[in-house]
Amino acid sequence: MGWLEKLRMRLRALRHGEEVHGEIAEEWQFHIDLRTEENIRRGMTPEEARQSAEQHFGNAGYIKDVSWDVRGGGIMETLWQDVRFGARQLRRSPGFTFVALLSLGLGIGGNAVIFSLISTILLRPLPISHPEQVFAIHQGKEKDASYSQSMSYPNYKDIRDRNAVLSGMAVYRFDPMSLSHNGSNERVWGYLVSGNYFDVLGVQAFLGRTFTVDEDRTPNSRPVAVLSYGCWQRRFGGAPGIVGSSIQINGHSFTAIGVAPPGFTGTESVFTPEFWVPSMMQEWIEAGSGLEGRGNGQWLPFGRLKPGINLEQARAQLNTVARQLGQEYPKTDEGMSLRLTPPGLVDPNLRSAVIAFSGALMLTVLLVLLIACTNLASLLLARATQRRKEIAVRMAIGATRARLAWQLLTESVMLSVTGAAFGLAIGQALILVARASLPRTDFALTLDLRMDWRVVSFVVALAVVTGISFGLVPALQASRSDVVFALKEDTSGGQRRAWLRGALVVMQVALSFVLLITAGLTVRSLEHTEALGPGFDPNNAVTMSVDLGLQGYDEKRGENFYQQLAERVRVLPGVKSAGWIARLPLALDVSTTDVYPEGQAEPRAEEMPSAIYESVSPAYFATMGIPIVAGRDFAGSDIARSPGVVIVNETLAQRFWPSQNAIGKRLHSGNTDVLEVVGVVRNGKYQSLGEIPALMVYYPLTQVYATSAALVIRTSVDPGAEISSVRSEVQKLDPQLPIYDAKTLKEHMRLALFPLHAGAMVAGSFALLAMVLAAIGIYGVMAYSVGQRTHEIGIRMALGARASDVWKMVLKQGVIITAIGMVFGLVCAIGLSGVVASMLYGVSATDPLTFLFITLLLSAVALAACNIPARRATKVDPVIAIRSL
Amino acid sequence: MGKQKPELPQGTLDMLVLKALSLGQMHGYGVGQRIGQLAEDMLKVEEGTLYPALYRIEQRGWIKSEWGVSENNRRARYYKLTRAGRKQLGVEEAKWSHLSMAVGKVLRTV
Repeated sequence: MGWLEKLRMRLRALRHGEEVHGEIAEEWQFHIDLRTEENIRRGMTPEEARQSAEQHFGNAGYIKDVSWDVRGGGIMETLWQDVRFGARQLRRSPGFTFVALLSLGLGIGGNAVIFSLISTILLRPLPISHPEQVFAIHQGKEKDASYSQSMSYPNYKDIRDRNAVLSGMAVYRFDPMSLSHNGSNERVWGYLVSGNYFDVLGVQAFLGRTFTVDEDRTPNSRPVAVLSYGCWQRRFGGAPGIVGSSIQINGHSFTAIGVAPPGFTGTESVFTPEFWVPSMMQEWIEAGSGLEGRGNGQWLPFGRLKPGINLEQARAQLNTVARQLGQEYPKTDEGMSLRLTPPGLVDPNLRSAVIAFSGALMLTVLLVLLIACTNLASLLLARATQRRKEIAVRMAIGATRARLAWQLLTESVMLSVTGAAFGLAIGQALILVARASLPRTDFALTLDLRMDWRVVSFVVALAVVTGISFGLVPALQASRSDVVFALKEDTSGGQRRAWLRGALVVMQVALSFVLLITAGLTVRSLEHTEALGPGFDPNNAVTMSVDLGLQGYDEKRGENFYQQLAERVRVLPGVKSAGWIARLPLALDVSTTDVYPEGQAEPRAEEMPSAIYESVSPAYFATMGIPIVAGRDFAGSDIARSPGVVIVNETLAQRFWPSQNAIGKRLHSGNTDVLEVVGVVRNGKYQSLGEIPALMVYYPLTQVYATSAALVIRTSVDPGAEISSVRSEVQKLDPQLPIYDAKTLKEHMRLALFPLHAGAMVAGSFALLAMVLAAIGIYGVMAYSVGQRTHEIGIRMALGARASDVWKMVLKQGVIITAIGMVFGLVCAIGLSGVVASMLYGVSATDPLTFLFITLLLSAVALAACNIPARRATKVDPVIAIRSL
Repeated sequence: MGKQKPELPQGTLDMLVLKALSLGQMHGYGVGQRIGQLAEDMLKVEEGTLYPALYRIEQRGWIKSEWGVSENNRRARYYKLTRAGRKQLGVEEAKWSHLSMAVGKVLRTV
């Protein structure tokens, strides 16, 4: 019999037990009847014949038991009995069940959310065929540790054609584009991709078709686009006639040739493009061409491994090609080295940061779950003590220890599985909250958190493991009880269990202390960062961006536009000043350039200082509230024909010309001529609030032109109201020009603060959760202890103890447990301070204020939790307590 | 009280059941009868213990059962040797003859 047949047989016995019993009985009756007939033939009386037949058959009861073991429900029958019994037991003590389920649900819910984050970013494979064969190709230098997914078009073509390990290699590039639809222009994000992009990924069009390689051979020849499913649904109402119709991108007509399948949003795990356009159309999409120039690494390559080629073989062979290129084109490609990493997160540093961050989160929620499970174990222990008599009776009538332990374990697994169901519901709710609280960005970022099968199986596995591991000790404890002593109400076993429960609570207090400290430090770090500020004044200012490149402006027209709009806006009522910057600080990324002071030999590549650069207009610094500490602001006279000038920040001035006046000094920057420093401005934050002070170089927008820029407007009144009047000024200058990213500077700051806010919120809520769970734990232990000591308290009171004495006595017990827990927690928190310090900014990992505050908070909560049972103890009526003895 | 019949050694009942069924399909009573005849009534088998043995062997996949009609027109459960059961019988027979030969040798030499 195969296992499946066996299972079917067991299930049949379980569901149709009567029928199976009937079959067995019928078979045996037949046997006895035949034997009786035989006996009669041999000359016995019918009476004798039947008796003899039954005698020969043996002990029918025993045989029936043995048969049922073989043919009946077996282990499943036992399990089913236990489940029904357990459900009855849990229903009978709803308070216990509720607290256990709540603790578990909260603990498991937190785990579900964090795991879904990890699943979304790191685990969920791309919805493409054989995603495990697809790898992002990262380029770097042999000697340099910094790799990034970038490559020039000529190098891409050579590596694609020369390698023998990839079945296909494609490149792509994110680009903002202006989409005209229903008379309005909107700036959206799309991909420029090589013609084989969809083929290499193995993605079929949902509607129409994807690109052919021929469509991506000649620059500016085939204006075609593939829409994402979301774009087609949202912007074109899912109209089936979209294929073959014309859409307007950057004022050019593109033919929509197909729609990508739902769920496919390119290769980045958090980015959703609106459409894909062939790479050869780059000039129509953005100014300048990235198709030429071997040093122009602006494309993001990926490849699919040939079947049978492993990662190591592929890496080795690709690097052989890279070395060939290095010999052929030493100027750009010398020392080029390639790596393969799973796709999804552009920057390898980002990847490791995400792994570290989610690892820390996972650890936190597992700790919270541990605290929740401690409550569960503690409750189970208490129940085991209450049920000592029931268990003893069952043992006395012959239940084995293993059978009892098995039964208690079934109960705890039932609890944890139900808790997991609660947890999934709580997790789903938390995910909805998290989705709603993600900041809006100009960039098409999405974090598609979902309860996928990975999350569900993780949660179920977690539930079973916790159910077994935290049910095991109480189950073994309970089944070890001595029948005779238990029936006689012996309490020594109870005392041992009380000790174990106390130890569990100590652990809970210690763990929640550590979590609270971490959360407290994170909040302090956030406060500090906010207090320190971004280096500009985010109050009473608005910003909005335009992308002139998308509208085909040349440099001269663009400069005119920037100047005219600034002048028109400055005279608007309520506007104090206005200025342009190519890209706002604390946006998602920055551009950097090589810099070194004049009069110094050009440093070698490894030692070349790197500065962040931006182009700004006159009055930008005044508008942002960035003080100019020396020299002057840019002026209308700094134009293309006049000598090149820069303004630098204090850090750069300090580094290049320590204790000298930087004004009038000159520096080399990128490929430009030597530039003269005309001003020094106060340091600020450019990429993130937590960054270490960076070197910063500002160019005049009139000398280093930018095709897109943000206008910053300082207002004296409500900044939000200013947006519409500025918008109408733009309309007057160019009715076609889309405005994007209009917001107050404070709103802009939210993006920069988001990681800190999110970190503080997550750490804070988990720490609070841990504290609540610990409070439940303390309360449970104290309430139980008071219940156990009712007689003793009654006697004390009869002998003259006052209510306040009893109250103090009970409270003292709770205070001791809490104090021990907090000492352990303190030791752990100090031990962990090295790890925690790396995540903090501007606050010490052993910040005394935080430690003091958390100690007081936890003490207060613990006292409150002890107070309820202590009050109850004072209400003990000595007469009743002693009489019930 | 007559001469005592030897009880079956542990585990040999299964083999006898297989042997009995190798002669053709049969109901439980018939299996008992056949074993009795083959052993010329020299073995003592408590008839009821046949049934747990039959159920156990069926679970191992060596025999199959189905309801049929007996000689006297009553519903009876018939057991039949499977291919795996026939193979198992060969294995058991070989094992048994090896064992009895070895035991016999030991008993004769001393």
